Amino acid sequence: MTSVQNATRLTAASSADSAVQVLAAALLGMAVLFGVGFSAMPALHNAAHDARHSVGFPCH
Amino acid sequence: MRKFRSILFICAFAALVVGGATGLLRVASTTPLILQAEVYEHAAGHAESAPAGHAHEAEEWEPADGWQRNGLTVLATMVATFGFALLLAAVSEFAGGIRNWRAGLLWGSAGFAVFVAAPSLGLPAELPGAPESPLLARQAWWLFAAAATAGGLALMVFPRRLLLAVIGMALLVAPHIVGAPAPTAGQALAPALLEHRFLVTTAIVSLIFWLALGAWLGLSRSWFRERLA
Repeated sequence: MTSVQNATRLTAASSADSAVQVLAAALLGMAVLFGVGFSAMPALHNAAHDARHSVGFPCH
Repeated sequence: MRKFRSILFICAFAALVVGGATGLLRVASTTPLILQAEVYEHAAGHAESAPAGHAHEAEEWEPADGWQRNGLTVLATMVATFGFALLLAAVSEFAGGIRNWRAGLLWGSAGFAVFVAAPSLGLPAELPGAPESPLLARQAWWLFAAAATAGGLALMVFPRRLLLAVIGMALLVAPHIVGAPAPTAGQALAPALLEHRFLVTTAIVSLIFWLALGAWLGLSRSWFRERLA
């Protein structure tokens, strides 16, 4: 395998790896937003109540 | 994991700075309106000798008014900011990242369109004591509106093909053709004037929030450029 092919493979692998990392960040963001904005747990709802109304999340 | 860690760090920093400031702004601007609405809500509840279908059941824990309640509003705003920042940072990384604060203002405007403008066209920000409709249906429509607007904007801006831009426009309109779930029971307990002030105040605070978040992410990303490359 030439060094050019090698380098191409490495670049492809690292860009796939970085896409996975970016996707993981997005999924974490969704999980966090679910907890603060959408979860029906009463304690979470009451704690985040005023923030939910102010952000515009459907609350009650 | 370097990229994941950098994004996490930048977004946690944004949650602290932008989220903390927005939380304080909300305590000063929107919380007083919520408290006023609760006066009407509680008055109606006593008149009917039952809470007006509101979720504040007496048995459940809720924060005491004052420092505890306001502190939790700031904290919840910071946590929500962390979530929004992660989504904005992740999506923008797929498009090459937010290069500077000026690009950040554009990304922030997109965030405002996706998470505030589109959902609130169908489901305006509500004060406590608003007319009831099933919560799950409203949450589902809210997510649908945000997702369709995000997808529509992406199709209009990135592929640079007319047909895809037209499909993007259709996606922007789709949630509003389907329509948000309409209220099924009850009537607003707070006066219309108060509801209107709340709507305008939340929209303006959210606009400031999204512009600040985008600009801040653009700024702080340029400090970490080599780690995100």
